[in-house]
Amino acid sequence: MLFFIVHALYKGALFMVAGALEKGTGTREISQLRGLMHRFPALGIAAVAAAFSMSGLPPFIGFISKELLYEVKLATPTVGITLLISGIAANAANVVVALKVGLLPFFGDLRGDGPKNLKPSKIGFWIGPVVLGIGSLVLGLFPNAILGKPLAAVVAQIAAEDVSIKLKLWHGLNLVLLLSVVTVLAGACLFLMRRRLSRYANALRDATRCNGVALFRSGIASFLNGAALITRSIQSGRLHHHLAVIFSVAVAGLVAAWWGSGYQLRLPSRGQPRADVILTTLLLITAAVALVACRRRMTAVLILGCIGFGVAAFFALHGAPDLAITQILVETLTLLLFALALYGLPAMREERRAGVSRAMAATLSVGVGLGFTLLTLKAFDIQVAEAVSREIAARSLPEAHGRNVVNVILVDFRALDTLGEITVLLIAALGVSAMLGRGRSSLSRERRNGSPVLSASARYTAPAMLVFSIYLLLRGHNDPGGGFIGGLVAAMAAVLTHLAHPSAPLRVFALGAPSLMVAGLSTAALSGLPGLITGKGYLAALWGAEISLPAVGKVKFGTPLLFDIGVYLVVAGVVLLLYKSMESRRIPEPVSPPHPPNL
Amino acid sequence: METLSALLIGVFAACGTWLLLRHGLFRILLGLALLAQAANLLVFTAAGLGRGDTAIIAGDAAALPDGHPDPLAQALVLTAIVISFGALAFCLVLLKMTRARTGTSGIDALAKTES
Repeated sequence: MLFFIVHALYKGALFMVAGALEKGTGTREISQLRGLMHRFPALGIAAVAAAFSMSGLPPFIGFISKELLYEVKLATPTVGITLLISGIAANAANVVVALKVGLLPFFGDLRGDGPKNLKPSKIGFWIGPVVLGIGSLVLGLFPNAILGKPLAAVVAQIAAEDVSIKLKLWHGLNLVLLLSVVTVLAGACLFLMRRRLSRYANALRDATRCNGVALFRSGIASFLNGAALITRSIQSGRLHHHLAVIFSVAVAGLVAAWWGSGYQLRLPSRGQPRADVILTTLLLITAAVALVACRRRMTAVLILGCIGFGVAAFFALHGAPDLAITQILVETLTLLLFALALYGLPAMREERRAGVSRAMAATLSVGVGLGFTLLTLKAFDIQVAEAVSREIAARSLPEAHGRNVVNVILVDFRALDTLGEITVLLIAALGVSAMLGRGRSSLSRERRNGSPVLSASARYTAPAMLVFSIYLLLRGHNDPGGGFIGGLVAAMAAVLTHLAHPSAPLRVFALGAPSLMVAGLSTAALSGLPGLITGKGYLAALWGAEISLPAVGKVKFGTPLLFDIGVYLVVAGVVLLLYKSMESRRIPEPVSPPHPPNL
Repeated sequence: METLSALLIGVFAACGTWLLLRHGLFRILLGLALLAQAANLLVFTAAGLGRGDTAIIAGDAAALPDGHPDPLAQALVLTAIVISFGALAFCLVLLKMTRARTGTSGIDALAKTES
């Protein structure tokens, strides 16, 4: 962290000096620049300060940074000595470079053949490097007062414990200081001998016909070629091959981990067998196999729906009513979207024999399946720490005033996660909308009036669903329900109305999908502010009065309820937008001309 | 019960992988949906399967009884269900657009196209 600051200070200063000099003198050739101190005093001072910091001379911050590095290297027993030697060499080279760029242009005689038209630089050109140069000096003089606390905060985050940092300019006479002196002396010697060294280097280059630049370039080129070779062999540009590579690596990693751990498989033996669960599970397994075997698309979609509802039953049987409700709602919407996607598309034969070979696919599938099974079984054996959910369950009622612990987690304890998640959902919906663009409703074009049965039932059920969704939202803190479920139900009410009356606008509470999403995300985000203002932290809950509402029961008002309302609105808006996008048939013009029929 | 559930998750994952590796875009979508279900069930099962009690504190109690299901895993899976729905819808639109623009959903035919 300290090194970032040091580097930013001196590199920034030197780059700015170089730019200002180029502007002022019209050249960047360092051999032509001499004795500019009189013309550009401010730039000169900044450059010298930066150069000293870069060389690691006291009292600049670069000195502290270098001392710290040496100290660490000395403390590391084995590789430390190699690092130390290379570090000293690199720092000595640093000294040479720093002196060359920082000092040479400003001292010595103004050469006769130097640049003639010197323009005095404006304040904008020299203020930057001067500030940075002085920064190097000030930080070097008072390192602890300025940098101590911020650095300690950063390091504490990384080390996951409290760290106190003592930065000092003067550490006393010790080995580290000696190393610094050696470094600077070596650098200074090299600087003074630079002409001779340069001659040697030229001679060496002429003799061996290879110089550093060419070597570097050829190194980079062969590196790139190697990378391209590897890329070509793994990534053929065919999706199935990419997927096969990914799955192979996953399976191979699993096998390797298994081999190394010597883990003995133990089957968990908890609880009595339950007939309902066994039946559901067998049904789900059958459905999954049927999905693979199925050839017709619509059938496949229906089987997928069957799996979704089966999973919902699975959740319900294991004491997760919130999950079951969410799963049922989501599965219904998925079915609807799939049906809309398939609707009107020409029946087209899929490539039957696409993808990787049968044996390969079978091996990988079995491998991945086994991996998932083993992972699940292994998970029962691991108990790294006391489960956090125990604590959450204990605090749910006294601190968050909620009996439905799942909802309490979503809107209170882990509200920030939920906020991020509804944002992701919103972005996905926006992506869908952007891909499809604005289109007119296809249903409205084809039939002005929906089916009379649907229309008649929607007239009564849709408003009831909307009211029910609010009920679900309000009771969510104590009973199954909440923002996610309520929002899904509200959106379904709107979708139902739209299916029955395709010409009617798609709205929830007279709000279109974009307004719903904006209102929801703002509500959720703003509900965190009261906590922030009162100093408890963003999204920390603040509670108000408890009001008894008819039918719903007692509802305690507070920022989590506000947050849940935001979730409700976002979910409703996202579902509406997705539905609208899928339902509209207009396809934007292709960016490229249509493809020849031989594809 | 947990063993059976682990088996179910394995079958879901295997079928999902097969669909991903063997067929055209539409079936890849189905495979993705199946893999998402497998992942959700994995998180749900790994926290321990309940015996039918819910993670809702009863009206007269102050805390959940012993042996209650893990509410944290349920919260995680709840959001995962909604997120995978969003992702699936996104992929569905991608499929629709691809079909509309190129007239195919075959992966290898797509590889030859320019757009």
